[in-house]
Amino acid sequence: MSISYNINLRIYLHKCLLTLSRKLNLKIQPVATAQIYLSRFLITVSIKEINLYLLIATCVYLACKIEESAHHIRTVLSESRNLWPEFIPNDITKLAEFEFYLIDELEHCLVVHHPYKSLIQLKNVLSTYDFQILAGSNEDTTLVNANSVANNKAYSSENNLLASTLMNNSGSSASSLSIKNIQLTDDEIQAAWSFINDSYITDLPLIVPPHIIAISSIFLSIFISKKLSMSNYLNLIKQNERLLFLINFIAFSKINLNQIIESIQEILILYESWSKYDEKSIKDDIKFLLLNR
Amino acid sequence: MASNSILTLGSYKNRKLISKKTILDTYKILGYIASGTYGKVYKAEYRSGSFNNNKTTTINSNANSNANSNTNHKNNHDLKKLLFAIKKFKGDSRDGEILHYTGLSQSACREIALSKELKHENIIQLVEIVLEKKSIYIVFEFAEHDLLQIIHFHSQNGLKPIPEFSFKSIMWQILNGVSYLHQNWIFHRDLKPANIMVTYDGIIKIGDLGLARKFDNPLQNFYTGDKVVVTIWYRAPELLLGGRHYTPAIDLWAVGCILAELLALRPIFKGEEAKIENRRTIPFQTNQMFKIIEILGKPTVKNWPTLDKYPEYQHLQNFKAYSNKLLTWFHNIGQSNSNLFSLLQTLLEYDPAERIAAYDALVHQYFLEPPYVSTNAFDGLPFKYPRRKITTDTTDLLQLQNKNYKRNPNDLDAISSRKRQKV
Ligand SMILES: Nc1ncnc2c1ncn2[C@@H]1O[C@H](COP(=O)(O)OP(=O)(O)O)[C@@H](O)[C@H]1O
Ligand SMILES: [Mg+2]
Repeated sequence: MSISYNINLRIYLHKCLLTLSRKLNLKIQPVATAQIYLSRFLITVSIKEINLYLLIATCVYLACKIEESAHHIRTVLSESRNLWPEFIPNDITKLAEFEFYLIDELEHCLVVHHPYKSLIQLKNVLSTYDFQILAGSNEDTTLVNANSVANNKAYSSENNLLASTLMNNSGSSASSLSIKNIQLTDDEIQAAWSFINDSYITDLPLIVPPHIIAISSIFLSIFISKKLSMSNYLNLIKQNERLLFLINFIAFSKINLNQIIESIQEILILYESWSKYDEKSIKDDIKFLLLNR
Repeated sequence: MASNSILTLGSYKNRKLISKKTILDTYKILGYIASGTYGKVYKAEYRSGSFNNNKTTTINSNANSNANSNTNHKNNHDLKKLLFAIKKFKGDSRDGEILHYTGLSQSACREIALSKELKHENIIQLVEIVLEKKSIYIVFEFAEHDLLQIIHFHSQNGLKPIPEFSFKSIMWQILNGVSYLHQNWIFHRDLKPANIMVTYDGIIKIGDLGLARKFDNPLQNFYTGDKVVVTIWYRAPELLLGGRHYTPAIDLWAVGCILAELLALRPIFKGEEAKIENRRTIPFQTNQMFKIIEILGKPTVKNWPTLDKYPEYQHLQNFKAYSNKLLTWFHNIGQSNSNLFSLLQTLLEYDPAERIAAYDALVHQYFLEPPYVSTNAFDGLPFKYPRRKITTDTTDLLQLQNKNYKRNPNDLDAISSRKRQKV
């Protein structure tokens, strides 16, 4: 019997956290903060040392307070008990005690910044951005770096496609584009929003700043729009232009392209692993782990 | 039902307890300072011989910056010692020991989260946070004075005013701290003389972030569920009128009240708080509103266009028409500087949208004329303010310390059994 803190377990923990959050009717902000607490806690503490379900409940309880949407400790405890009756003690002091250790493990740094805000800001910037003004001023070296980064990494097929999109178009001039800005559709914002949500399963939010995840998610959502329009030639050209526009925007705004590539890659790897996700075995593993401690 | 051990923190907890350094290992409690709404505050110094953990570096660097600012106070030897204020949050306790884990209060959460983020000359500096034995301690740099004390000192000595240079430097530094908070989208929400501290070398340190909130989240409505905000005398009129949209302006109203109080040596709007009688209806603070109207006149949609949008607007109908007598008030307390009056007026502006922002107030005409402000508000003062009184009768932390700091029996078991095994 071996259980490790791998992507499978991460997906499961993420789902558990979302289930509890839904029961408590939480907004996105406390959910995301709780997820960060969870990831950070598990950097320094082994999953074998603690009760993962109690950890999730505690992260949610604390995050709600920090995000100013507090729930009574009894409410969090009873909702958690409804979900995982075998593993959550009927004793608020246990949850409150864990909170102490959680805060300590987080080194008392409880304020967390999330990409959702950047997503909204970027949406606005992209929709009002006028590229004509910038044309000619975008000789940027970060794009050159992107080539070397991309070459040094093993890419899955999907990644290859993306990386080459990023690289091959890096030289194209903005003035050759017919569009002056990008109006992201509701569907695209929705998709980007989901990419951000899912990024919390990985360690990305601990590694790159929020705006990187936001722009990577926008990139992915436009990329999907492009894939969806493969059969419609005119549409395809339009999506291609938007993608180029975004790449030029990234270059111009000197956002760290390496980090964007890394983020996109990480999210795509996550989706690949998701196809092999096996919830039952994880559940059993945790149960075994907890009952035999 | 699973065995009991899975429901607890088990081995993780033991591991943590062994490596944990306690608050009384690190600090020597010198006495008890005060008790606020949420906790008790103690004066402490660093215990010598405990320089062997990683906290030392933070404290040392703190010590260095202290030492630098102390260079012009060579005769203050005993004050050069590293002094701290330790805030212990309240809980059900017996003999200084908290009995149960109950979950951190919202106020403790706010103070921990925000203190950790802030670093500014005019904000009280966090040294460390210690969670131990069910208690929460926040260790701050120690400030020898606070504005409440300073105001008392002057009013008790036959209403001698605070010298203009000191007053001006204090005001500017308060605005500087508030400006920093607002630039970081943090609203203090409880500015009052007791929460504004001053170090022995005249540096303003805004403290008590227990009510402070961050407002940088566009996904979150500005409306907040919590009710008690800002001690009534310093509460902005838009809050009295039931306003729910917090803006930085509520802090600037409080700063205006503090400015007036530093000049008059008594609160400018000393209303009586209407107590909450039942939970559902929050009473209209008639008396407080009246105190404001008496001096500033009755607000109208003319000088405050959104006035009639406030939930409690109809209560204003009950007030007679008063005219603005702020200038008379200003003259009556012996003031005549027109730039100072203009600053006061723009801080006590009814319409929050028109009220001056902290950042703009820093370069208000008043501060551009002599005497110029200094980082030491006490520079050249011919007298010294009395030092903060501390008491040493047995109040909880001291009691704990004097008991030679015995550990909680339960924790002791866990630790000593592990230790014995190890030896
Ligand atoms: N850093 C400090 N140095 C000296 N005294 C302090 C310090 N912090 C707080 N105090 C004293 O303790 C009192 C209560 O502290 P405060 O932080 O305002 O807590 P509360 O939230 O309970 O009002 C203050 O009014 C002040 O007298
Ligand atoms: Mg206070």
